[in-house]
Amino acid sequence: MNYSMILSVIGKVLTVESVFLLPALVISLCCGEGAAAMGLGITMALLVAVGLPLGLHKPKRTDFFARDGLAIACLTWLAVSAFGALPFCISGAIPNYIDCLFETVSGFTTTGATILANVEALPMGLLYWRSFTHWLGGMGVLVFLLILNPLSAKNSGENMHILRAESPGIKIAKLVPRMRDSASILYRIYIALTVLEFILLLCGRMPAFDALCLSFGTAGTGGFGVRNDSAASYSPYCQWVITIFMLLFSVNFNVYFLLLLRRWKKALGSEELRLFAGVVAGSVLIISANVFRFFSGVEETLRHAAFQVASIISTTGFSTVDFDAWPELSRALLLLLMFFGACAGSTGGGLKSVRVLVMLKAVRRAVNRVFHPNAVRLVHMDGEVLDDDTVNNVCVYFVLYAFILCAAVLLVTLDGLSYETSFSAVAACLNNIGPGLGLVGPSLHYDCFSWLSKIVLLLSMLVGRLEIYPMLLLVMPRLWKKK
Amino acid sequence: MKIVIVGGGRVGFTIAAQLTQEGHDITVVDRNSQIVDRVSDSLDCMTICGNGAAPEVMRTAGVPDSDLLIACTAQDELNLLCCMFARRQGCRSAIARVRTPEYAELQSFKDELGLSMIINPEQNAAREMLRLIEIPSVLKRDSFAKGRVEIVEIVPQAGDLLDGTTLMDLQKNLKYRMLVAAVQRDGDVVIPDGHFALRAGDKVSVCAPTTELGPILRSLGGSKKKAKNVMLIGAGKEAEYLCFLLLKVGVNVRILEADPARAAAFAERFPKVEVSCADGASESVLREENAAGMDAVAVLTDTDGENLILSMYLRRIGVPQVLTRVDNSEFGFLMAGQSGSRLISPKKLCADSIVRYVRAMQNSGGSAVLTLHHLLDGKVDALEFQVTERCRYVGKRLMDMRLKPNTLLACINRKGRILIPGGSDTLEPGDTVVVIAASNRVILDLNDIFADEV
Repeated sequence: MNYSMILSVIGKVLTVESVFLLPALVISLCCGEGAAAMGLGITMALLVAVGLPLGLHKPKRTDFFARDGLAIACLTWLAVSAFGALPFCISGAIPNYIDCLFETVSGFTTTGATILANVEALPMGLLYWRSFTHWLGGMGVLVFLLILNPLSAKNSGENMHILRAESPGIKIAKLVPRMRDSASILYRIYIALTVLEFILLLCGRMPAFDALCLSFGTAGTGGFGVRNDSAASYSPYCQWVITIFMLLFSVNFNVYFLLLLRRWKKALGSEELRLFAGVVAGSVLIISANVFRFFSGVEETLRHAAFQVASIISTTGFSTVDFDAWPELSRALLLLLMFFGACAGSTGGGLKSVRVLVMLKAVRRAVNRVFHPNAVRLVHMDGEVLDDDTVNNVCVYFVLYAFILCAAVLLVTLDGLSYETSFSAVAACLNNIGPGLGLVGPSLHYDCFSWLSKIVLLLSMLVGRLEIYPMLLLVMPRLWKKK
Repeated sequence: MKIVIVGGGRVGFTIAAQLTQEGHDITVVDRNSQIVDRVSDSLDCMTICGNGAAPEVMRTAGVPDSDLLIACTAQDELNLLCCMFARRQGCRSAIARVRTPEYAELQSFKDELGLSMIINPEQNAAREMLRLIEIPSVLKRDSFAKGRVEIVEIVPQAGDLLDGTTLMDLQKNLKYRMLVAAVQRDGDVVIPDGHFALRAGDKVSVCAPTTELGPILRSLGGSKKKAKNVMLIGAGKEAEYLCFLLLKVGVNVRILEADPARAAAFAERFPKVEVSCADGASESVLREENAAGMDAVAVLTDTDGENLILSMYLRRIGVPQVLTRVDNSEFGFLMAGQSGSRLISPKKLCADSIVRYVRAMQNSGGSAVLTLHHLLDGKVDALEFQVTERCRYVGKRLMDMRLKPNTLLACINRKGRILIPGGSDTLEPGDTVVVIAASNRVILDLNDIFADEV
């Protein structure tokens, strides 16, 4: 593994992170929050002190392979979270460092699970930083770095290895030939949609600070709110806006690029998108029918059903009602939607719609083989043939995913909480959602777990966000060998 | 520039790698999905899996609004078809790789077909080999100013005139016009000044007028007599082109080919050549055919590994000059650097000349790069520029110019007259000049070499 190269990249990311802390510091100073400002300021100084020397030193070796890209991805995320947790700790807002780390990892991985019982007590600067981590983590910190400063023009493979390690989905489809242009197009779409949501929320008379934080939370499909009741106390108009944007951010961003190019047919004909839309519509209808008696009127029922479905399937995790109190069918359906997840190439987590689609097709092929053993069957998607390697990779991914889920659930049940709580907590973290069922339901929080479970859960969040392999590599002794 | 490359094999890959580094938007089209995966895994470019000559695929690849299409699949006909479709769709220029000897005449029709360039790797390689065989003591020859100036790489041996002399003394002692452009010592490259002393074992790039090259190399020592007897091992396309060229300059050619059908075809085509149907990879055959007595041997079989091993053997038995065809292997460097052994890679030569063409195309505004060659393993570039009125030092004397570090004006071509410049020479509009620059400098315009800012 090329240590000097990896350290140099981490150094650069940390330096960039210190710049991102600046708005939070300004907000803290404006609101006169001394402790929070101090925490943010010290963290910024530390980041610069550690990041600049690392980032400026020239790597000795430049050979760089796929495994180095994966290692960079997971080590960067760990480093960014470890430093990002410091403001909470130094300011004393969250006394325990593990709690701070849980909160920050939850932010960067766009999970939105919180250990805070009373969110409203947090200083404004820290609230802002908490939501902003969602926005950064949604699209990826490394992708942002690569736009600013591609590693080297000589060996463009390096940039690809990093991009692939950080981007979700089965393969990355480039929009334009150069990776840097491609990434900056995605970021521009991301920024434009975020700004649009912010404006629409402002139009609904939401306070500017809330609108900003909620926009960050929606854009990254994170789910940190600024109020204790998440999104319940906002007006129906604002709830509809958030619902729509949660869904928009869980669509593959390539679709928007194609729409901008006016290639309507290709954009809207994507099989992944159709499956996703179908599942959303179906779930909303089923849940609406199921919970009709809890609400007065069609609009209210639809609004709450749609909000919860959008929130869970996009892996955001806002809530307008305590869905843990809903009938079993709705709760079970929401739990399943957690695993389904958003589309590939979006900011959402979960298994991803495209993987489910490929697995369904693989199953159909296997069943067909029973009836027609000699038939030549290929797996098609969007008019193209998927090679068997891709199909196998998807299935293997699913198996790995299931193993990790089981292991994490076993570890978390050590705490002796109910099976429902433990399982849904792991599911909500692994899929980057946030609220689960039982003791971790939408109106409750994660402080009920021991520190061991918190570490297991925060690792699950990273496993989910980076799609297993980078984190899996970390525990392989082979990776750490120098040669 | 937007460039579409059809065919992602070795040539396509090399070109794509070079051009992505230089900041172009590259799309690679190939029919083989494994090749496509390899390209998209290691290069920062877009890839499309499909038949590059199909109009539908071309539209997806964005051919209609791209600046250049390079067709370098294994099939000549496909390449030509591809280029013609591309031009029809509005692509601004197109380059095709065509290598069947029977199609050689196409070269003269290329304008009618709308092609900017037809490139024939094997023919290129044969020409390059001929140039090396003609002057045996140089490692590499690159020509500028329509062939009037050459930059050659030589390695001085202990006891040669160059061993231990400073460049100033060399200038005084030598009655010919020449200039040491760059020196590679222990892997580092220096663009030397007058006080620099050369040593045996340095790799030296020398710039000199073509007409004086022979005498210069003779007086520098280490010159060998012109090759009279040349043996070729393997009767492929390169051998065919090379044989043709060698016969033209009056060299005796002997060829070994193991395959009877190919040997017979060769004998039919070249009655004057002594064709032996024997395995060139066998030691007894090589002794029987008197390989040791040859002035030069070109090892041109299709297998890189075999070529490398054979060449090592031939060097061992004392063949003065061995040319080795190494196309797919990255282990060519094992042979490189030994005087007397040259590596020839048709595909790499082909990629180089396409990249050169693209650079010239990119620079065609202002003072254009006319020619570009890489010297000393690509660590130094030699660029030929046209001097126009836009050049800041037009009419000024060289001693009044301040050049950037690691750049050098190596020669001036004034209406066919070659000047190796001294301090009192001037630049005039209409001249072409050869500039030497370390390849980490980006020189796109003649004005880029001057140290002062505008």
